[in-house]
Amino acid sequence: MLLFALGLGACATSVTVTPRLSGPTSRNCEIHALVRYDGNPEYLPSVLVRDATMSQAVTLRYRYDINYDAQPLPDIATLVNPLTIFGFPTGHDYISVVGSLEFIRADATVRTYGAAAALKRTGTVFGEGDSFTDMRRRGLLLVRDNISVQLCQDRTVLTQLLGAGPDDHSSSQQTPTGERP
Amino acid sequence: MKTIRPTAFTSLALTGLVLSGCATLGPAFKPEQYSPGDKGTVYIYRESKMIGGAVSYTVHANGMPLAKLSSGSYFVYHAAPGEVEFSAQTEAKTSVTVDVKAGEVYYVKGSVGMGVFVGYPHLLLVSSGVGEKEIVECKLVPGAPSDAAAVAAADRRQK
Repeated sequence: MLLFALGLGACATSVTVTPRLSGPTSRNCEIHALVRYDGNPEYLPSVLVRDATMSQAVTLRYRYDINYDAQPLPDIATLVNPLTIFGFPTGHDYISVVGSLEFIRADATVRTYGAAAALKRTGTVFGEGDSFTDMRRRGLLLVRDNISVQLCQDRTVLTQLLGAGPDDHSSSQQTPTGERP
Repeated sequence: MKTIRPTAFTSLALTGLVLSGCATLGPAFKPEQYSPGDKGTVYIYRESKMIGGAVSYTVHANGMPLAKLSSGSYFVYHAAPGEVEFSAQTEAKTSVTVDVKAGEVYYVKGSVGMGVFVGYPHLLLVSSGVGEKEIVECKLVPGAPSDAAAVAAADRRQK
C-alpha cells in the first residue's frame, strides 16, 4: 500500500504560484488598452482587451520567461536501488514561468504587475508524469490568471491611469476598465 | 540440418539488440553556417552515454517526424516563429515546447531515462551556454532534413 502510494505520489506535479491571491476574477472586469504582445493570445491575461481606439499615451507590454531544469538521479543509483521498480523517484524536473505586464508611458514603465509559477514533477520508471509542454501551459495559464486578478483588484487606479493622457477618447462608450458609463 | 543452440541464439540476439542502437553518424559538430533570417535555429542533440546508449528515438516537431536521435548525435532544425512542440516516444512520451523567434538559436537536449522494459526519452530546453558546451562532442545525424519544407517533402516521398 505504501509502495503504491509512493508510486502515485511520484507522478504528481506540484505547483506554487506567487503572489498568493484570494478571490476570483470579477466577471465584468475588462481592461481596454493598447497591448504589445506577439505570443499565443491564450496566455495573455484574459481581462485585457486589445483596443486600438484607446489612448496611445499608455501602452501595455506583456512578456513571459520560462526556465527549465532537470535533476536526474545518477544512473548507477537508479540501477542499484531495489525500490526503483516500485516507483521510487528517478529524478526531478522543474519549470518556472515568470510573467510581467508593464504599463508604459513615454518610454518609461509607470506600473508593473507580475506573477510567477514554479512546477515540479517527479519521474519514475513508469514515466515522467506531465510533459514539459503540459507543465509550461499550466504555468502560463496560472500566471495569466494571477495577473488578471491583480488587475481587477486595481481597477480604480487603472481607470485613472489609462484614461489620462492627451489622446483620451472622451467619446468612447466604454471606460478603460470595461464598465459602462 | 544444423540447428542453432539456445546459448548461441541468445548471444546473437543480445549482440543484435546492442548494435541496433549504434547508428552510423556523420561528421563531428560544426555550427550551422546557413540560418534563414525568418526562422529560428534549433539544435537537437544527445550526449554519448553508456546507459541507455542502445535506445534511440525519433524526434518530432509539431507531430512531424524529423530524425532519429541516438546516443552522441545531433541535428539542426530551422523552425518558423511561434510555438513548436518537440516530442519523442518509446514506451512513454515526452515533449517540450519552444517559443521560437526568428534569428534566435535554441538547444534541445535529449536523454534516456530508465523505464520498465525500454528506456524512455527525455527532452529538455537548455540554455545556449549549456547547449554550446555539450553539443561539441556530438556527431551529425546523416540525412536529417533541417527545415519544415524538407521534412514535408521527405514525408510525401515516404507516402
